[in-house]
Amino acid sequence: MVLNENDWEVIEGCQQGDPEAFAVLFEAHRDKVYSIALRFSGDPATALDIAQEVFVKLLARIRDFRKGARFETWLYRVVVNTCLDHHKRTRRLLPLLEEALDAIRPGRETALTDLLRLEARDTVQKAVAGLSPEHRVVVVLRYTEELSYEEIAEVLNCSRGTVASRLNRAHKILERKLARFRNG
Amino acid sequence: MDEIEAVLSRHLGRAPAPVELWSRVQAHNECVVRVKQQAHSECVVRVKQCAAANPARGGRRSGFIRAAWFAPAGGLAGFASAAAALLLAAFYFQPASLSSSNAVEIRNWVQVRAGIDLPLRADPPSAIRLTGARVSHRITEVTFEIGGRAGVLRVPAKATHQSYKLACATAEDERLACLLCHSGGDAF
Repeated sequence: MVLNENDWEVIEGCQQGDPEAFAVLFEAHRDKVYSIALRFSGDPATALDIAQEVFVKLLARIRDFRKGARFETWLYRVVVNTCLDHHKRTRRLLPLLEEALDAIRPGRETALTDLLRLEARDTVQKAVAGLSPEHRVVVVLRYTEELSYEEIAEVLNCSRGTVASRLNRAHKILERKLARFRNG
Repeated sequence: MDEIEAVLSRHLGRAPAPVELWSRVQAHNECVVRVKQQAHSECVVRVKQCAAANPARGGRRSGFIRAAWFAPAGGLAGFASAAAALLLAAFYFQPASLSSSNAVEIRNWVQVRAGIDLPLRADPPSAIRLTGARVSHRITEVTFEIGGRAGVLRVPAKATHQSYKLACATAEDERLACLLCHSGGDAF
């Protein structure tokens, strides 16, 4: 989406350090930023940390943003990179996440019992959180932000084919993970 | 495959950001401003120290920095000192803003941030409500309201002679805004 004149005024205001302009920018994009962070991390507290980091980066880097560029693409890149950076920093915590994912893996009676108690969204969210970062990002941009393959490719700076391939792979993994949930 | 896409579309939609996100971002930014203000204070101290050590060069701030960069006193230590002053000065010239209705606080803040002594009256007329100030490398602004209408007093940073420009909603507001600095007798 190309920004209109009013949006440009807001961005220019931010570039000049106008706190009111930043508040407007924040209001316009807070849910988007938080949602991507939440769907990527699978944890509200982590999502809050990531979203905070995104807006701090946004404020620090907005002077680099040039008129004529697509603000939304630029913003998505900042959000995605922050999510990936956060993932790298917290990689050592992944074993804990694996334990959580065990609960939704097929073949365990107790897991099935747990699964039935989980809310549907929670289950899907956790399954997505178990994907590798590159698969997860594609899934979140596709289903949370409803971006097209081309738009995702632009944000991730890769080809449309790569996006299609990662999404296809992610679908298969998720289908397997969620099989019991869907059948139940 | 369509089924999994439907499941994902249904369950991975947007979620509203918690209200506390804004306060967290703001708190972080205020912290950054405080760090910048501290860095600026250190910069001023550093410049004054160097100026004291180089009285011949210390007349003008920009002149001093230029002179200290090319011919630092005290060899390597002086050079490092000048480089630190330059870095801090660059940091200091990032835009910053202050929210305050206190004329004395605004005057002091502008003096520290921009090196400009705005002759704001400590007790401006009650019809004028000061709201704050903003300093960037290009301009210094003092913002106020008259009867709920916004106004701004601008001082260009690079003016040869310090000049003040008022921007108000009405001509009457502009006349009244003169009382920010002038007393009633010499305002007009």
